[in-house]
Amino acid sequence: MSGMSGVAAAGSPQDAPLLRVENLAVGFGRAAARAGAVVEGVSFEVRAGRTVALVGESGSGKSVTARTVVGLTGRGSWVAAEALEVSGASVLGVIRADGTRRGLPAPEWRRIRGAQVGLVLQDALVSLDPLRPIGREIGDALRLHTPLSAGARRERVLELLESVGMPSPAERIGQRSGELSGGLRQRALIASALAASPGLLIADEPTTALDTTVQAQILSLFEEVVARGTGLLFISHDLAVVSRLADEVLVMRSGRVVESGPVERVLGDPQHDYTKQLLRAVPAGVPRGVRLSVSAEPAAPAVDAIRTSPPAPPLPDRAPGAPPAHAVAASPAPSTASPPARAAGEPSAALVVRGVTKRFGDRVAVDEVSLELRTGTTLGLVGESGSGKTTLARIVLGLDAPDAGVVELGGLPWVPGRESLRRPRRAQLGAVYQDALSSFDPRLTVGSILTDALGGADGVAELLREVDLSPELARRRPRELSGGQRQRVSIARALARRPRVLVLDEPVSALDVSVQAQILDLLDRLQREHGIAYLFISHDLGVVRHMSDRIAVMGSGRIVEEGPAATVFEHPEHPLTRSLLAAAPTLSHS
Amino acid sequence: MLVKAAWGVAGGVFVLWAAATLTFFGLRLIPGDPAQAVLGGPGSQASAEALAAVRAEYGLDQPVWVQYLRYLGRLGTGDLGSSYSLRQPVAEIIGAQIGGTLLLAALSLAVAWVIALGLAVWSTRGGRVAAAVGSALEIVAAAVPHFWLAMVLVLVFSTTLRWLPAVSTPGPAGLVLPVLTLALPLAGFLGQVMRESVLDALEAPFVLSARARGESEGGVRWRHVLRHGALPGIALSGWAFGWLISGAVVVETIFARPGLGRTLLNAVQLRDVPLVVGVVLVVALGYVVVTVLTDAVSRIADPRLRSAS
Repeated sequence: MSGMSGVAAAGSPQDAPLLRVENLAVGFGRAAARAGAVVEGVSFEVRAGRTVALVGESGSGKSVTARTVVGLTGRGSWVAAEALEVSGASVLGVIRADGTRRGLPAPEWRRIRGAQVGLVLQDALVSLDPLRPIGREIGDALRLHTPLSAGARRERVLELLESVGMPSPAERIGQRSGELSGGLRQRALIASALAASPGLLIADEPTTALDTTVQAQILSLFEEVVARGTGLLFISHDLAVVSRLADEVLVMRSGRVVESGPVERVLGDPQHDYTKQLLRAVPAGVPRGVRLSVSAEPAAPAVDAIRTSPPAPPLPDRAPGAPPAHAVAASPAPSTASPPARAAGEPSAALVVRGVTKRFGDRVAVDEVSLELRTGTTLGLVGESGSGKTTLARIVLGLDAPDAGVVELGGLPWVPGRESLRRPRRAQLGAVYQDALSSFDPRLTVGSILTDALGGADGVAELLREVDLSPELARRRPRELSGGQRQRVSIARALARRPRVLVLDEPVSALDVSVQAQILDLLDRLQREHGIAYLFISHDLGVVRHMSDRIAVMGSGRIVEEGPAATVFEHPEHPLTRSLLAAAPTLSHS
Repeated sequence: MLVKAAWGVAGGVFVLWAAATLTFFGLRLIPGDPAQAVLGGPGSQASAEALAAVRAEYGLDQPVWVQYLRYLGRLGTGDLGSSYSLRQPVAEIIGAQIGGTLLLAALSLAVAWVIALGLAVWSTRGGRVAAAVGSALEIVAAAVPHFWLAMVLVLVFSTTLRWLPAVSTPGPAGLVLPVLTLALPLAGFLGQVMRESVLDALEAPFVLSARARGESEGGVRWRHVLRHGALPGIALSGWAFGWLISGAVVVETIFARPGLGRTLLNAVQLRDVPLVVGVVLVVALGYVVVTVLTDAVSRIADPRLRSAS
């Protein structure tokens, strides 16, 4: 492709790496005392045509490391390293006479940024200026680093758009990021980082905001860019994505590299406990009942036997001796003492959706959808964004009225109908959303949120223990909790009134993989103990497969395929299911 | 798009009707006899016959609702009537006075914009001290009343320094103090919202992208941040226009400057109903036009508004 070929660091010695980082430390605080270090002892090299991945959870220091490489660590930060070299030249600045260090002057940084190192961030909707056409954004790097005229820049931008697979570039060049789909604007963002032909590209979670199929396309684009000779520093929390793209991987935790090496070795034969933990937390290919999160006992090794025999779940987390708060509630759900509902023969239907259709103007968002969710089981609903999953969830919850069709809850009509008739039975249906924080009133404490849900202060502590949270958290506000704790609170709120059915709309999509694993384990345990049926909506096929008894695949508002989880995953019949499965990056467990 | 435009026009007509109605009935609430006002104000010693003749001439002997409907009918044909006190068609009086006020308002808005944007961009650049100083300046400016600010400006620039005239004279020098009196408090308001969005923009990922592309600090501000900072200012400018006109009443009086504001104040004092109504309607019309304009400019400046509609 035009223009992309001359990237292999023209002036520098052939054997010098594009990026060399030796014993890097970064912190926010007083530099002299090296206070507030968030990154310590990080060393790696990126060479032309190679991909190095930094993997870790949020707060592990991987993004800070990436930004330090382009001198954009942020205000009040300090950087120390034995070596920090871009294309063989140090970017550490100079040591003053008194021993302190003065960073590289801003004009020198500006000659490196964009020209030698390009940066791609997570979501192009906000990573490209929403007020400016993408052509201007991409052309800026050329304006800053080349003597090209405005006309020549435009030509070059069109070539760049072509090279990142943008369809009809001449039309797109004048559009803004908000007018493009997620995949197309991410291509534009990549084009803007590559515009001045930097030898090194840094990509910070570049596919995290994308659908599985679009993610697969963007990952292919990165592979192409690397094949043309660019060096890639790829930052991700997603081990499956990393296993597809990287040559080398560094696993980071709390600012330190815990393990590094060739990707096959680190992910295939991990030595460090944390790497093993991360790998085990990936739910793809792991059957139900196998714990994903770390616990005292090891994960059940007999992987194949789990589904056929009733799971022997570990129940270590319940507060000893405390009777469940709901024991007196007149609920048809089995009490905790009874065996898991799904083992009790043929379960009845907890929720039935029949012929539901919903239109928005001319667009059919949900088209004649029929589903059945049996008591105590999980129905996984998968599909790309815009396929109608969330609209269907809103109809099931009685928040939107369908244009046609009915929903029955516990054998009785639920939707359509007057809200005043639904209200007495609302307790039977709960919901958990992706963004727990925005589903809480920020001024309320956890205790008052749960008191509201319970209809009284009794049982708040019990409810918190049920979701493995300390009752002391009742005094905190949602903002003071971690992402995992918030999602536990939102699950506790959903459980408060002992629902028969929980609608879980992307409940773990915003969480780190190890936290996600804990939440999935919690949901699994709660279902076994209380026989709650889950309508589990997710774009993550690994998560859905791990959680679901049956799977429904949704595309353009229709259910294109429905069946037992194993059948749908192993023998997909519909082309959409196959393309979703093919696009999902997978990680083979050792 | 057409439907939207039609709703916009209907909304504008509604605003004008509401302004006319409120003014009409509002003026009835003031004690005193309008016929007396026609015959030279409360101090004049008009005879009962003269008063009756005036009442008949202006239809003041009719029931209120008849007067109201007639009044609306006349307004519908564009006839603003004639002033009681000045014995001139209202349209002529307004035509003679409007230019000065519009010039004053437009200059004040422009000056306020420049000060506000400059302050917002400067105070977000200079670190914590500059941010605190900028914020404090904005709050003080926004809180200062016009009449007080006018007196301070006169005291400093006319009485002490003798740089500028204390009374508005024809020519640019006479405009400086009135414009500053109106612009400084407005700059405080605009600056506060603009700085907020400048700060948001500086934290946005697209600014990180721009810096990673090799853009300089100046370039980041000029090409990206300035526009984002200006957006809420554009949206507020419609409101600011109304605010400036009401400020013009005070400023034109203090600086003895001819204009709509002073005309309005005199007309209210003299209970000159047709003139008050005329000025209020023209101001309301101006407000509607400016709001439509700022909406249009917002759409041009922010493409997200276009695709959302």
